[in-house]
Amino acid sequence: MLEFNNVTFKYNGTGHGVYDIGLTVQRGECVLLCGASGCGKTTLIRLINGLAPSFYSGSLKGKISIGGADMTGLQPYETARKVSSVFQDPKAQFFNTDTGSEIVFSLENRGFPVTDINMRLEEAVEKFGLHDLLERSPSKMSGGQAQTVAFAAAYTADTDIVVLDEPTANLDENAITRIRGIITAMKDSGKTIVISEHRLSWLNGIADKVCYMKNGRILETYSGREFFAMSGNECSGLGLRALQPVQRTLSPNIIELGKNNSSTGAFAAEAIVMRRGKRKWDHPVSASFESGNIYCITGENGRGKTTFLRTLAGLEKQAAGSVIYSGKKLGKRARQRIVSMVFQKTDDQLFSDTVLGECLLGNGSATEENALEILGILELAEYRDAHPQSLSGGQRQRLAVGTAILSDKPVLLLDEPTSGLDLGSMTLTAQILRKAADNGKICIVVTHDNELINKLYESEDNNAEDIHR
Amino acid sequence: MKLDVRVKLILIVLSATFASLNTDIIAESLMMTAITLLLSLCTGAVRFRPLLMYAIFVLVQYFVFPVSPRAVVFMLSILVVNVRNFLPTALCIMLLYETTTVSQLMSALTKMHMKKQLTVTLAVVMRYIPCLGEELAAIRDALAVRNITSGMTSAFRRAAARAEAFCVPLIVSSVRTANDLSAAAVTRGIDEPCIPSCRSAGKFGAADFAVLAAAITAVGWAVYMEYFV
Repeated sequence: MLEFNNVTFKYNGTGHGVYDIGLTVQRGECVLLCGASGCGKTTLIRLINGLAPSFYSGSLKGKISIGGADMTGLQPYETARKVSSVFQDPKAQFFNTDTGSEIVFSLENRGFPVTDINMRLEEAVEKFGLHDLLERSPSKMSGGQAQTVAFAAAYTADTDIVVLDEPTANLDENAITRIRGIITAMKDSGKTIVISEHRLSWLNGIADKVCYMKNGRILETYSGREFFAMSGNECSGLGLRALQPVQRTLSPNIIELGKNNSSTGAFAAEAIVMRRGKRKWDHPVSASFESGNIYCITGENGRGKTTFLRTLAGLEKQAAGSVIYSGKKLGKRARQRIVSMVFQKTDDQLFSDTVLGECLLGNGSATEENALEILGILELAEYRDAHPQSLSGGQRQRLAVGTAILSDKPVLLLDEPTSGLDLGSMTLTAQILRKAADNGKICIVVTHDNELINKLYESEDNNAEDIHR
Repeated sequence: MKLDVRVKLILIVLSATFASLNTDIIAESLMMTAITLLLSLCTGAVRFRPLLMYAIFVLVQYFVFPVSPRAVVFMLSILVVNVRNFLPTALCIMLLYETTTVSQLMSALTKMHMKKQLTVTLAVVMRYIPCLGEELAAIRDALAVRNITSGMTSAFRRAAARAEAFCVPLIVSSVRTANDLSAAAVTRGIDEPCIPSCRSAGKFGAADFAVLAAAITAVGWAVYMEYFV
């Protein structure tokens, strides 16, 4: 069905790419591509959906074929008739302001008759349970809802192959369970699926074949059964995330929004009623934070975790309640002065022209020595003179965390700091957060990532020792 | 009320032509009122803010400028006179943006025999506009919790540092977002050579003819007043 025959692709300029790829995917098969960040998973996805080399230019050798037909040299729209794609951030791929138009966008581009389009739209709405979302703008949906719409659009596109590039990076457990059901249904309907992922456990029972990639090559190909039977040690030896569902460590510092929490700590939210734009939450939220601790805020998508963090940071004004630090009620401006924050999207929060400069910018008391120590822990020291925006996504994420930690502000807020990160980057982030807490900071992390939560709480002493060694 | 996309595009051109020819404030006020009414009818929501803004500009020009120092008039006249003059055109662009889906726009442009490159570019630009607002808000938030001007005593240096801090991530982020959007569009066959279908495309109706006739009459009157009176 889909065949890579000794394919090598190198991006123009950087020389990075994938090398000597040989891969055969049968019709109706689901193939998982895994490996550390930068191993070539996304490039392989781009070669399948035709973005490389038509959109991301580079040199291509070898042959890629679908159903025996050579795909190299095809126009992008010809590839789009055979392959549909779902990306990590669904909102970045939406083109319409209503869900219905979004789902049938590919069919409209291909000039399908309107009666046919309406019929397929009805089918997709029924299959994916989208009745309530049909008239809503995809940009106003939660991550899980938006990703479901993206899947419905890929399903409706009438292609034999669907490629998914880290589709669950920003999703909670419930949304992942739903996505799992959708992919199973797609597979059952005969579609061939290729997924690139860091979070692996949810694909147990779905992936028929697993390709482990490193440095642009497929080093090993496993059957799904072989792969998911691997031990935890083997798996972390390969630098992969957990293969089995991870149960969360029990800790008093895990705060679930919506449940009653006290508000007596050094930094506290006292009966806050959150508000963001026109939306106002019904129930007040209280939470209490002490210096030298890490707090994880969990809960389903759409519960208001990010808004809670933004309210603590003084970026949103609450409808009722107050934020207290050292016994004093703080207004928005005063909160902004005591918190540093790492946002989900790091592109918008890096301002300097070098990595080292970024660490020192606005962090008056931090010295170059402090900055280099933090960069060393985050494995970014060799990029000290590089432009922050030239780093990879995972490196930018780590730099944003490092910069916030160097700030002399007492409260550190992080919004999903490990979404889309591999095991190595996730572990480094956990280590640096422990260091910040050990230095007396209050760290508050919004996360769906149970592996991160366990790393933060399981072996606090070990991690602290590792850092100081 | 629904207007054909082609009528909305023609309205932009005609309103700009009217603005560049007309010198009569009463005619301009009537045009502004008519387009605000049209925007309200098409979006289904009462839109009085643009009219209020227009009224303020007119009041400033006719009642504040005559009693103000020349320097103030000189500084503010570009904003008050020129921006006011083209407010009806801005409203027509708003009408197109708020009431047109990307597929409707692409279908209409293809029917008008526009080149594919232009059609795709306009579609990506239209989709990018709300992203730009989000980028600006995200950078503003990041700056709010980051004291980038710490240690700077000069107000000029602080302003320059803030401006630079705003521009760098905005440019990088804009390029990345536009790139991601274009890549997503390519994987969805936006460059198909055929005429795209559009399930929400309406037919050219009585409202389209009425709006077009009114706009052509207004421009015809402006041409007559400019060149024949």
